[in-house]
Amino acid sequence: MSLIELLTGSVLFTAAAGSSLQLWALAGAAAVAEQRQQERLEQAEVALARAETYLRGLAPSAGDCTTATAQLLQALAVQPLAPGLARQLEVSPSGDGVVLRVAVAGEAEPRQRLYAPAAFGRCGIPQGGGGGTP
Amino acid sequence: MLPLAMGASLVLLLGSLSAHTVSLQARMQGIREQQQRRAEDRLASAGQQLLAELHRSHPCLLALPLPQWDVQGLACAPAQAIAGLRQGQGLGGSYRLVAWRPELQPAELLLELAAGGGQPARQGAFTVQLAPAQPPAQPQPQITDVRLVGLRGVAP
Repeated sequence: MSLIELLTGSVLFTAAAGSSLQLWALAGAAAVAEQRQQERLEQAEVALARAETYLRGLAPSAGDCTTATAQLLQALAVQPLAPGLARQLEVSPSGDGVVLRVAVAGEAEPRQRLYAPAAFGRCGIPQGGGGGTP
Repeated sequence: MLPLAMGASLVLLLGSLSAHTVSLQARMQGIREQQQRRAEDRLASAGQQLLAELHRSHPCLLALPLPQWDVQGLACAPAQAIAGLRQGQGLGGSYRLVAWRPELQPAELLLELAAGGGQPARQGAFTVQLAPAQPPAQPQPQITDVRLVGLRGVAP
């Protein structure tokens, strides 16, 4: 075994070990970041599920759907939210539903869902609706 | 010595590349799951929008299967309104009403999201609980609950 062979082998092994270490570090950091992001996304899912659960828990009413919508909007505004999430609430263009947007840090687009009390039978049929017999 | 060093280096590099590939695959899986969730959001929202519109303006159609909307349904809803219910614009895209089967227990609603934004068309199936009509106080069935129960891609 010559000195040159020993030096070449050592340099090669050291370079490979260094590169390998960097790749492992990158993979490890990416895995940890992905895990944290998945946890935040799960929390967003929980926030959306909680909104639907709340809606199902509303007492059915024969009243106007806009009243049930206002009630839902107020209730969703005070629901707890996990760190890393941001919530935005607005009344739907038709006025009888709530659009809930949950933005997750690190995600380009927020999750967004419409919740309509009427679709859960939580408000009455308005007067003048097409209620005639077909 | 040199072959040993080369072999060991190769093993180290291959091992770390494998770890990196696994982490990239996990990321891709996460992205796919997010796309699936967003499709569920759009479908769930479209379902609620459609049912709220039926409840608000045309509850008479709740009792009729979709193929009868353009026949018996015209007695209680104008053709333009029925066309608007069959094809609508919801949160994040347009949707199409594929099926409405109130004769089932629970009733079944099938919606299709249009393809767009690099995403394929998807269909979502809902179960809808209907309280039967009780004339004269409640002349039409009333929706009491809705659940998105399944999601599937649609072949182009």
